[in-house]
Amino acid sequence: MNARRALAIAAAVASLACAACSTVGNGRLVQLDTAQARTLLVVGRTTRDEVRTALGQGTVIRFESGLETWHYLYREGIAPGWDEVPFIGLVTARLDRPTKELVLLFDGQGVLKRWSLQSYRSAPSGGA
Amino acid sequence: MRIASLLIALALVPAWALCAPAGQAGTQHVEVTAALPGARDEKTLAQLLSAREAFERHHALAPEATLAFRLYARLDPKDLDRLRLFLVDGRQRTEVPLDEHQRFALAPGWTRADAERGVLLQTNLPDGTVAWKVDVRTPGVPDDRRRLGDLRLECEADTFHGNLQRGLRTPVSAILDASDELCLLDDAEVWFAERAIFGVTLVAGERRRLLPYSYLHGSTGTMALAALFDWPYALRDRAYFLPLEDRSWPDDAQVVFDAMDDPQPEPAP
Repeated sequence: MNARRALAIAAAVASLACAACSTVGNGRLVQLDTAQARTLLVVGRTTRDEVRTALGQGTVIRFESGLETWHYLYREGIAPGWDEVPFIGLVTARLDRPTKELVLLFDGQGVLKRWSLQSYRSAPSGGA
Repeated sequence: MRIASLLIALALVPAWALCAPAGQAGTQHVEVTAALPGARDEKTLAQLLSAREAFERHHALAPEATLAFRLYARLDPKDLDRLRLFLVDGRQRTEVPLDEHQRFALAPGWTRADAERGVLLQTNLPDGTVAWKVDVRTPGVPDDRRRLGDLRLECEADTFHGNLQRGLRTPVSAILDASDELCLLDDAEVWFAERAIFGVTLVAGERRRLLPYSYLHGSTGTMALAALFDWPYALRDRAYFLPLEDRSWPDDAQVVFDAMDDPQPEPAP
């Protein structure tokens, strides 16, 4: 193994070990509780732009129906991006890490239709 | 002028043919065969029989359930309006009736000998338009939920047995398949709810678990890869995985769907 490869592996290990958390959005999700969410997220009224201003941009999935989900995630203990890497994510998902996630559903006009906020530990039985 | 004569002659041919007496010397039967415009979506009977054998081996997961197969439209829901299924045995095509959910069961007369002869179950739609799923149902479970043991059994019968699911097989899956433990992986099988879903909750008595969003819609990482070939595009909002790795959930646990069109729960979660 040459020195450059060893250095790259060491850097990857260090980034995994030292990173504090990964988050999607502007980080406000960390402090968001159910009471705040009820105020911020009003079904039938809150728009995508208002959510983007408040929470930053979530991860978007658009469906053929015109509906779309926005997903916000906060996880302690791992650097951003690793969870999304196929196969490596299978390993990081098994680490016992406090996790909070917010899922929003917007209708075709960009108005909030549903939302869900939950905290859990991504323990071995916690899946992906 | 020559062209006009030729056209007149051609116009008279059908009339002459109609007037010719039956059995007249020179009459011949002409068989016209035409290749289909492209490959049809199909599975071999051997695949379906293998799924049934796995179903029988693992029937304890759902003792009261029956086995069927279900066809889903992968690309356009309107395809279901024109979907038909045929048993193809050489040149013989026999239509297989589908129920209102596009399901069919294996007929008692379909044998392993038929499978070894290359008999197919073939749709009338182009390859890639249909997702084929094993469908295991314990009687009495409503449409807004499934029984976990039924779904575990579907996985056992499908993944690497019937092998009906499209998609990439992960290296880990290939290894575990050798030990028949594939369905202990969360990303082993993708399922489709009856309606577009916003959430999935596992319920066993007082125990409840709202699945993380990574289990829905092929939304992240390995599950997105595993599901890639079965959910585009019409099925993505109905797609979900299950925490198969967590065997602490009993087979009688309920998988409860929260549909996108359901109202926001009050009080909010």
